[in-house]
Amino acid sequence: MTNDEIIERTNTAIAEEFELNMNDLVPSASFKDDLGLDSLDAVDMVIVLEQEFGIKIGKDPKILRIRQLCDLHSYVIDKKNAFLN
Amino acid sequence: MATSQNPYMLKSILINTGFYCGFIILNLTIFITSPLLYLILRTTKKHSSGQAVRRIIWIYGRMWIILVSFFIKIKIDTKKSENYPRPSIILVNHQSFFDAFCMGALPIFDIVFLVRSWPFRIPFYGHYMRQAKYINSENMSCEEFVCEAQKKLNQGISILIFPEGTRSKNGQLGRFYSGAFKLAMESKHPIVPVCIDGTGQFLPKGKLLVTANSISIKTLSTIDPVEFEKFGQRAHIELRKAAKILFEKELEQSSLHYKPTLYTQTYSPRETQ
Repeated sequence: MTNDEIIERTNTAIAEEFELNMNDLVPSASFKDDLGLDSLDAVDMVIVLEQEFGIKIGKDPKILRIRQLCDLHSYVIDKKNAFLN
Repeated sequence: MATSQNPYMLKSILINTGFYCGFIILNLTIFITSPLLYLILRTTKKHSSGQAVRRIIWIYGRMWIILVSFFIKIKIDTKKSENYPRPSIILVNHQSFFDAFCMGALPIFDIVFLVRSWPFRIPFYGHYMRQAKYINSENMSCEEFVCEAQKKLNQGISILIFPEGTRSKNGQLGRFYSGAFKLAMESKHPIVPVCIDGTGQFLPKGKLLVTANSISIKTLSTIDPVEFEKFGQRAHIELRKAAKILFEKELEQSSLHYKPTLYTQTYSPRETQ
């Protein structure tokens, strides 16, 4: 799976789960201010990404620090690559 | 054009004058009588402090509904008290500031609302909300919210949540946040969905003047969170989706939904140009 495919699948999964418009999912989008996601949504996001990519995120402190969509993309790409290796 | 607008403008002036005069009288009445009501409820009904205030708020809601029914049609189908498992998590869709007042139509009164911080700053209301032990959800973490709400449920108090988190700007049902559903899965208390329609047109978000639109308040089928345990860690997400479908179906069937009245059509920008 290429990085672009990971980004697209991440965006699609988030858009479907949180009823967001795909056009709003720009890399610089802030989860709180631009997408209106709260701390409870972070829990759901972990579940959705774990199921989408078959990775284990759990209560990883790194994901709790993520504020922007581009950081989430990088995080998922790293996780996916680490899982494959 | 002006002559065709006059009857509607006159109607609007009459409705707003009547409604807001009545509303002021209602507020003064409750403000003056609530200390006595509080004492009566504490002594005769043996209510706790918070319970007595919650009952006063409920009475206030009932009186508001009576007031509004003088001006517009209100259709109430909130079932009987026996249909409400106690305690329960009551979910209400959110269209208008007056949605909270509509909860006077419910047959139960011992309900704590989950609200953001700004309503606590409203003079008069904020004081009563604090006394009624309403939960301020602003800046609460998931764990803090579930813990606080669980305490109330354990005391037998139902929790009322607007799952959209804010009032709809366009009358459409908004995204449902997960908090209420996470609480339901963890506490195993049933969800009672209450669908309100028409309040968004009666008093839209950001407006001050009311319009002559009908309101309907309907209690939908209770949802048992235990049935969703089979979904594992996705249980609260599936529960959230199931609840939203119930609201969507009800709003689709509602004769009031998204149908502009003659009054709003007359005042649309295109026609007034």
